[in-house]
Amino acid sequence: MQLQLAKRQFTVAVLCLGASLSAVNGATAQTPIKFSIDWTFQGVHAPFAVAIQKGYYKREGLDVTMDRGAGSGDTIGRVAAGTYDIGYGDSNLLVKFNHDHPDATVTAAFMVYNSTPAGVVTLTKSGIREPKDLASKNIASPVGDAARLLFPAFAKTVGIDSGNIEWTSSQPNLRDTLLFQGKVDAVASYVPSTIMALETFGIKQDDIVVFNYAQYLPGLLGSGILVKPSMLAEKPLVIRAFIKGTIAGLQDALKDPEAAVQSLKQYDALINVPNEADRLKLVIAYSMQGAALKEQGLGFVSQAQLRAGVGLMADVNGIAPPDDLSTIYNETLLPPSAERMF
Amino acid sequence: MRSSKALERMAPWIVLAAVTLIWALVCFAFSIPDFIIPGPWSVVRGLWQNAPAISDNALQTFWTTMAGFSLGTGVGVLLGFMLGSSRFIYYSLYRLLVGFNSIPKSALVPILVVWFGIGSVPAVLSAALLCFFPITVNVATGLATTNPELEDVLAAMGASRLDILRKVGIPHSLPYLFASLKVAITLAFVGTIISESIASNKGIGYLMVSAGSQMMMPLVFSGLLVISVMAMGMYEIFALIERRMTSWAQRGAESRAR
Repeated sequence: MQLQLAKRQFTVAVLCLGASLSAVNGATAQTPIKFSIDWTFQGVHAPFAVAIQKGYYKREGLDVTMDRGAGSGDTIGRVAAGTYDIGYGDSNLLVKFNHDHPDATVTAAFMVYNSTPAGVVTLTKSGIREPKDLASKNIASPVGDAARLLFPAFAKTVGIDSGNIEWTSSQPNLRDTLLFQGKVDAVASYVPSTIMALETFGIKQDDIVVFNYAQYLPGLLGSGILVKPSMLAEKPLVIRAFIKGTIAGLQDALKDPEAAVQSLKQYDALINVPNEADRLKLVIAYSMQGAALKEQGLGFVSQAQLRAGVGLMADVNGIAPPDDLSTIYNETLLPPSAERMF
Repeated sequence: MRSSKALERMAPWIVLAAVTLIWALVCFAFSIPDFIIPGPWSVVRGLWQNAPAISDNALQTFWTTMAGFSLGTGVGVLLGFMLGSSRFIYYSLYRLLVGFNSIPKSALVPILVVWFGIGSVPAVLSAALLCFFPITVNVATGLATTNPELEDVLAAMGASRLDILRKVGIPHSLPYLFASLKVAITLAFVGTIISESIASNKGIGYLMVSAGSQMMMPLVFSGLLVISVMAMGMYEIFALIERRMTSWAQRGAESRAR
């Protein structure tokens, strides 16, 4: 009887100890974050890999797992459906997505790369020297590709008729091959990828002609951190923590692209570090220029650029732009400018 | 007699060597660049240089496919059993199954991702969804085409339906089942690869998309080669099991081949 009582007291004591220990653990436990990027692991995703590997997210209290994506459009869908807490993708696509799905909108909370380096690429042997020469030419691009979608706006700005263009629809990885083989005159694409592909084929930088949309369409937005508005309202501290971790990773990547790309190897052992470092450097060169960005820090998008960019995407999709621009880019959770310098 | 047996065993290797030679000659003769169609030497070299990473991804694909295949076989046999033994179930289900099977599974993967996240689960389900149908069809056919005289004899001797199924129906369907398993294993690999190329961080499917977007075509072809070898290996294993378990059905084959 005595023994049984003692046993019971002992059991209760152990259970209480266990409960209190787990409560303590719970208090210091990291918030798990499911994060999806927009494509397979490439140089541009190095900031995230660095932030995970060097513990920048951990020190903000987040346990981030990063998964690959299958295109920005799909990533936006994953965030909207709640499959992923946070995504990384092209924020230009949010305008049409939010218009089509008013009950399940997605918002950008931090612009990682300031403008999407979409554009038209051609070779000097095609004889095309300036945008006007593209009139009535044969251009290759996948259906639904951002560069193809934006072409009419680009055409209007440079004064050619986009209706006369002969489009060749192809998959992204075949498109650049078509240009190399001379089967098309130009391609509309994500410029850094096409330049890298052409260099793989042995074409020199001097023989490549690039028309970067950002030069002709000043409002163009870039790729950023995507979240649901409900998460912005309910868990702002978590999002801010993620942004801070990402900024730290991005600062490292901008300082030393090669070292940053090394962090990606743990995600994809087949990554060719020099190639991906080149890709990252190209994206930085095309997307991170501008005095305003250097002044105001990473993630800065002027209201003028935001209005112009949203208007641009609404125009090319034939829809009305949203009244509230913060449904596309919400800057309220950005840390102070001083912490965002690079 | 001895030399023809030896020739039979050497034949597949001779054909393989011939195909490889033709492949190399075509690439050489037309000066096809590596990033369009790599020659056999580039592929082997890519395989050798990236062996650890490729084998890592290959194992992921292999185990995922085995899981999906087991699931698909279980479901396929069960469904085939139901369709083969009951006319009512057959007529109510078979058209739906055919319709369902025609849906490209790459369209289903995004839905699976929303429910299960990316990774192994959509890949296993993809493999299972692709490979269950031929098994179902074959098992149902095997059961439905059982010799009626045999069944009548057993019924006359007082056997129950279950007895008849066990003694006549199932043994009769075994050759059909094994034939379908050989087809299903290759389909299971296809299902896994489809899912991995859209929704996985690892596996040969991911490797092919990642290498493709970095224009590393020899690596893509190495991935294809590894899948083919795995599928051929699994096919051989099932052929062996088939010979053991249904040798009574293949007695005529050897004599006819001569």
